[in-house]
Amino acid sequence: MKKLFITTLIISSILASCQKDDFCVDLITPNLIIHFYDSVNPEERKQVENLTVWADGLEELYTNVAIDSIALPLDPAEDFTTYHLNSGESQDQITINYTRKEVFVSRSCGYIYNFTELNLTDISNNWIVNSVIINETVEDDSEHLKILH
Amino acid sequence: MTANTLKFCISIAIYVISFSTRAQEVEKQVDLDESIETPVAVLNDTLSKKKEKYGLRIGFDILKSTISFIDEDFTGIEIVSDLRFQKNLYIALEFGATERTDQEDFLNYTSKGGYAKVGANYNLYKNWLDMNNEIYVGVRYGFSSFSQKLNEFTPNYYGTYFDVPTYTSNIEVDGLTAHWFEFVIGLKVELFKNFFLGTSISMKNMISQDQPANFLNLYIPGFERVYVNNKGFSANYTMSYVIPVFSK
Repeated sequence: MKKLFITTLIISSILASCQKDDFCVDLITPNLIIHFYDSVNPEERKQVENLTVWADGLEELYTNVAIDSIALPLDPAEDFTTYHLNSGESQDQITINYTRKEVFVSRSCGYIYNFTELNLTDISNNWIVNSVIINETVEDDSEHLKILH
Repeated sequence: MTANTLKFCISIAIYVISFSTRAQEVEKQVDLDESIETPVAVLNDTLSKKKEKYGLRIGFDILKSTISFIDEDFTGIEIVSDLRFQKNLYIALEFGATERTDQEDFLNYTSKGGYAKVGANYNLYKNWLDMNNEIYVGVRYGFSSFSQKLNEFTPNYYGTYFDVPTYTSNIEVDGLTAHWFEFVIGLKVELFKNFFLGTSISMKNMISQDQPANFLNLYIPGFERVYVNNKGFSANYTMSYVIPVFSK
């Protein structure tokens, strides 16, 4: 009895003093996924040999990489994001417009954004031949935008 | 954090108090041993055996009240009561109200509402002579009516490429309800005549609840923090007074 008496108190003290029980391991806000294709043969993926990418007014996100797909975060404070893409030879810019939608995930992860009604404006075509939206909704890491060059 | 430290200190205080009552118990045990040596005394003891008290016990949760004073993010009160209706059986009723604001990693919210719990306790403790201490197990049905408000949130972003703003929100969902079952273990110690100090812990299992759209019940008054799989846990520390109704 004496042991039960004391054990109850100690267990209740310890449990009542604990709080943090979960950490965010769920999904977070997805990036915009762009795949690069050959403009001559639109079904074929084609690398950009010397790609440098940065958002308007920010530091470089990719610097001189040879790559055939990129993942770009979208600005959480605005309904549009302008990216500059330099292929090593010439430079283009593209503005992505979207609607932000808050989606509740969990206690530890809070809210993420999904982006809907994706559309492009203010596109220059120096090395980019064409850009096509594949998926108007950004809610996972599948392909959203196709760039032919 | 202060609230947790306080919980811990009160636990230790009750723990120390429980020792002092143990000491009294040992003294009584000695008395009994002496009386066994003289058969006449044993006979007298049997005749003068005290009747057990039956009464209504009313008290409150000292922990919730104290935290309300020192923590501006918590306001709460809980009234506890029980009525002895058989030798070891007590009908229990608890009710209270809570308003609590909590900060998670990516959001800040406020839960507010009232609750009631009804059930029974069974005393497992064999008392010496006229002592009235209890170590009990019990069950409860709990009900809460509450609101939950999202105050602020920061969208969860990977990396730090963009500055992520924190948004103020005023989404408050009213009229939420929750029902649950509890299993309780606890103890009550008679510190002075008719005056009890108690502590209990309870494990909760949700029966049903209304969830706000695009949000989740994170804290429910009475149920307290909603853990994964809709389990709950809480502890209380009570001071209570028995109003004797009759003896038998």
